[in-house]
Amino acid sequence: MIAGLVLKETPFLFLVTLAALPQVDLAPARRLAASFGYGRISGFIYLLWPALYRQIRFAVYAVIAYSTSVVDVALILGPNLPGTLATRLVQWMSDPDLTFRFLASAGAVVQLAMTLAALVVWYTLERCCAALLRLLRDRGCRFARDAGLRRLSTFVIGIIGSAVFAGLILLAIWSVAGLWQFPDPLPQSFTLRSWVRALPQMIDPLFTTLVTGFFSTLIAIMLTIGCLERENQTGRTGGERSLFILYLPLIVPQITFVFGLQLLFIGSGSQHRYAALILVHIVFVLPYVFLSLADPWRALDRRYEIIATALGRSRLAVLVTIRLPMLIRPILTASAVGFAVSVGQYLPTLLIGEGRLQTITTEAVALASGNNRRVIGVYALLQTILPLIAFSLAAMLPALLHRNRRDMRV
Amino acid sequence: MRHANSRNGLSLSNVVIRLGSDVLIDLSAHISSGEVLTVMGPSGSGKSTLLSFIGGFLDPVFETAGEVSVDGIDLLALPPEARRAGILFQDPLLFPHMSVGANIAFAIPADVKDRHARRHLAAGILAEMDLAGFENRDPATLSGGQKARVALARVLVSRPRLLLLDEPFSKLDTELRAQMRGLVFTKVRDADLPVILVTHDEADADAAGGVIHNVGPKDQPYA
Repeated sequence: MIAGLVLKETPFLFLVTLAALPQVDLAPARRLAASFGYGRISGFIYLLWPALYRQIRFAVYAVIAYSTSVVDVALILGPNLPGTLATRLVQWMSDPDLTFRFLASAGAVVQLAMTLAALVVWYTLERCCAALLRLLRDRGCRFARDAGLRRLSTFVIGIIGSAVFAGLILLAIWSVAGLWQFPDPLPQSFTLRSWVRALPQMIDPLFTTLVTGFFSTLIAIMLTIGCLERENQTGRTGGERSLFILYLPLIVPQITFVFGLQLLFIGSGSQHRYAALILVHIVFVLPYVFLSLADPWRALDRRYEIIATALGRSRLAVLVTIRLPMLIRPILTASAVGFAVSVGQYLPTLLIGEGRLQTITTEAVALASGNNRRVIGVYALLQTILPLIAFSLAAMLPALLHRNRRDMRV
Repeated sequence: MRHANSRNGLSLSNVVIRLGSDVLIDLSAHISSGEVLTVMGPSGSGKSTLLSFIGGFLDPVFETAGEVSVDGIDLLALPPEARRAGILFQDPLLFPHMSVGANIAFAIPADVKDRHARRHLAAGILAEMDLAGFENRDPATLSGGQKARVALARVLVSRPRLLLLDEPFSKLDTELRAQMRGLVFTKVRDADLPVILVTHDEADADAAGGVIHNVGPKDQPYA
């Protein structure tokens, strides 16, 4: 299960780090370090890592919190293990015996404490490593012969990447497999029967997935644009503290507060289950959308807007005619990220939808513990394809809209 | 010091811009239509804050005082979008998602409603800049000099009350710079606009031929 979580979270941290990399000067720092005789890895760690880590720190916290409280991975990979606290919590919450709800509430608080404890341990480690790093740096340790270590890390990353892709390919083969007996390397025949059979049942979950993803992303994008535009007008950014608030829903274990939200919705007697589902998805979609859109938004040359305003356009008109079209690519990319996050939500959908609203993801997890590999393949592929479609659209639409504008290409 | 003929031109009276305890700008002047006030100073002396202040884009960290009026209209009482203060920066800053024609059309005042008239106006100003027939071009495909001329056409077609030039020639190469200087100051005189030019280049000031106001440390020569 630890291996499964490493597989799942590495791509996420990798992407976050990639996004943060342009903000440090990679190539010059490497040359500078090399000129002083430092090895590549030690040069990177001495010069760039502190700045880089500051950027991705909250993302790391989010991963820790997620891993200590994960439900869907635990359900899929270890259905027979004695269950983590989180999976037990979900069972208690959905138990028809209402007294278990109190147990679940108490358990959710314990879960929060556990996650906090894990974060504190990590924070302590973080401090120790920083101290160790300072010590090594001040003694001038060069570690010039680091080729072996470099090769090892490339190898590990390669293994993780290929494991993810191999899993996907295997699922794809299963979803079109006919008869596939044990020693054969490939199925004897290929058929679309699994797809044809699964599709009619998939229409409802697919619809729910699309509607929820679309609206939660749309609302999150509008909120983000509002926040950023306000930031423009006042000339103040929220700073470190607002970053913390943004990451809060990702750091606090989902299971802890989504359960609270569920009780809140039930308590309010609200019948608007769809609205509730979209609202809860926004809680998770918003941070990702904000984080992906904030940097491109702040990077746009303010003088374009000054010129447009000086030409007599109101603030709203400048936003609509200048800023939004110029930022269409990052806005669509942020939307695709948001949509992908919404599609991937398992626990919130399960709890808020209360079994009456199914998405592709909840269905896929429910099926995963069964053993019909063909149907699992169909659902899992669909779950992967949906974000892929969103990202392709985000890449293609701007190219189409601005096909005659060279400066609007990347 | 307030001039008697403040109905005609741009009046700055006791304009002071402060950052903390530093006084960046302290200026009173009258600029008649068609004349240029040159504000000179080294980089970082805060000379551009004067333009931001007049245009209405000054960062709130600066403290300001004084009055600015054009043809008797109190400019500071108006929101930035109603001041009609045309600005040219050192970069042409053509909107990259619009064609050249759309860039010009964006600037044409809203009271010209007839589409035919708007198109006619855009074609006219482009022809004036030796850019006839460029309406459908992508701004990214133009040369540096062409972009600068489109930027000039864009600001002139918006019928501004005054013109603010923020080192508009500093990024052009020497030959183009002389050409653009000549073109800008000719057009400005034709349009009969009061102009404030901010620069650190003596040659700009000579070409402008107006009053020069120096800012920044007095004992340092200009960069």
